Amino acid sequence: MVSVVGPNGSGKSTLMYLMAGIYSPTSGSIEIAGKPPASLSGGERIRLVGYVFQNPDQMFLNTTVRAEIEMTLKLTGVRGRVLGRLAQEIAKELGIDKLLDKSPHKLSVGQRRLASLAAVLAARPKVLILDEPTRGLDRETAENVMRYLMDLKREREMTVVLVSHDMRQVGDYSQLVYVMYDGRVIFRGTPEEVFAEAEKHKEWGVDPPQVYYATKALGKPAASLRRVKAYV
Amino acid sequence: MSELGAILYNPAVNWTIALVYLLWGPALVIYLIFKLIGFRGYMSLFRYAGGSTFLYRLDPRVKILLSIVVTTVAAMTVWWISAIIFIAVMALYAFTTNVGEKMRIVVPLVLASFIGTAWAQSIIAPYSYLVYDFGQVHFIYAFPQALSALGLTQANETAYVPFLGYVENPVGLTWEGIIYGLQITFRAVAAIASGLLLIFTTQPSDILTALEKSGLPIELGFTLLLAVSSVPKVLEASMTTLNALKARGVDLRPRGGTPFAAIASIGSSIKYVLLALVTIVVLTVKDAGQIAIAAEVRGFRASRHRTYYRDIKMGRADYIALGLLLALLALGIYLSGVPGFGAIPYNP
Repeated sequence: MVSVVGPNGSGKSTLMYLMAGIYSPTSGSIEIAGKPPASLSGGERIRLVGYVFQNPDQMFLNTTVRAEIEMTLKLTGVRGRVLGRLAQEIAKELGIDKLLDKSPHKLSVGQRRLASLAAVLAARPKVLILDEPTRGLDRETAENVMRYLMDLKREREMTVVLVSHDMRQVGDYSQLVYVMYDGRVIFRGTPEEVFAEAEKHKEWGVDPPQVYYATKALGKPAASLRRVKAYV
Repeated sequence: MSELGAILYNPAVNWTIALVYLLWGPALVIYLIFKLIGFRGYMSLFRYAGGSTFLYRLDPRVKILLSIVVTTVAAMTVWWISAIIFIAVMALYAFTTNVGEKMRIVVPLVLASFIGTAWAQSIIAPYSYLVYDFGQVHFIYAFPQALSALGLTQANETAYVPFLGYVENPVGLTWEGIIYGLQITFRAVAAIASGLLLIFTTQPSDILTALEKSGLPIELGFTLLLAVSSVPKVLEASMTTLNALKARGVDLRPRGGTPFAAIASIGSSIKYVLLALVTIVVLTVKDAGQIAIAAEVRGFRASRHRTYYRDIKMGRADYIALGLLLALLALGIYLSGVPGFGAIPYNP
């Protein structure tokens, strides 16, 4: 998993919009798996890059969760009876199959988040962009969502790009972290390297998690408890 | 009829030109505004940004009065007085912060108002009015007679139409209509510019206080303020929802190799944009619900006698500005009665 961090207004969302083909670059070019996403048709684009918005409400266009998932499937060319079966399968994977006939706007924050994920994952994208995917969720639900995404990443061999201000999450799940500031990538490295550098640059808005400071005091800085276990 | 006239006034060509002119006028204005200002520009249009010049220090009541006086005087007097007032109001923008950014928004808006009003007046200004105002009326192009039912400019006599010759009661586009449209736009843009000046230079809470102190019930003032402040929120929600549409895989631009595929694609885009409108409404209603809760929690209308954290008081500069505005209003009222200076009644 790759994370993108940086203060508000540093250009993270713009970069994600460009990667997802929502914006076209005014200069330079963007290619994902050898294809420029902005030049692809909608169906081709969402099979290549899936984008889960920070606020799931902004993504819902239909009156039921089922219709949301089926809309994605239709846009990728799926037709006929198989639509209903696939929608059911995807919802079941995320544990929201009982909510299929409910309005997405009437669900709890966590359920809405899962419904928006289901709608995006239905296209089986090669790259998944997650903008603050666990914002508003309690710690346990957030952990479950992230664990599910990591399993899915392995299973589907998918690249996951995470945009987050939650450094505990960044430290926990990322192999590589990009730091953006004033519209540019100014640093990249492992979470430990980024946290070490961030201590010198408060303007980055990257506040390392407590576990980093604790392990640093012990002489072996680690970005997360999982990483501590890895070398204990 | 000349060869060109035969082509221009072939019924199919005539209807096509007329409909394109009727339908694409407003579309062009909207396109121009969004192309030049963009969604983000629109959002900043309704947002206050602090400053320290005298305009920011003026009592909000004086600035509200400025909008009222400018609109009233512009409506009562001849077009070139409106133009002078408009230029004077635009000169005041020099005292705002980030002038370049504000001009990037105000200039396209004014330009679009010019095009929009000139377009509308070029086809709907009453013929009798144009004759009264300009003496002679020159047709540029005649539309099908059936369109007179829409209230378009129609001569009440036989008039000359280029490439067509003399026609009885022609309906259509006139030079004088366009000129009149451009003239009358000064009234609209003077009012728009003064209103924007108030929004750019006054804190929303100060506008609310000023409205209440001017005798407007707080509920009404609060509603007005919410209506203005909700515009950028709705635009923001619209922009994000349209981005979300693209992220979900919807092609908003027509695609397809054949005309049929392109038409089907346009139909599908329209369907999804309509669905997006529902999302925007849902987001706006949710936001309104939160504001209602916040107002309740903060004790809105809990007491009949409100107190103010930031009170507003008229100072010396405010009284000077107030005097100048009242003088302008008196001058406007006087001039409106002087021949050649007052606005011409719409149906003389």
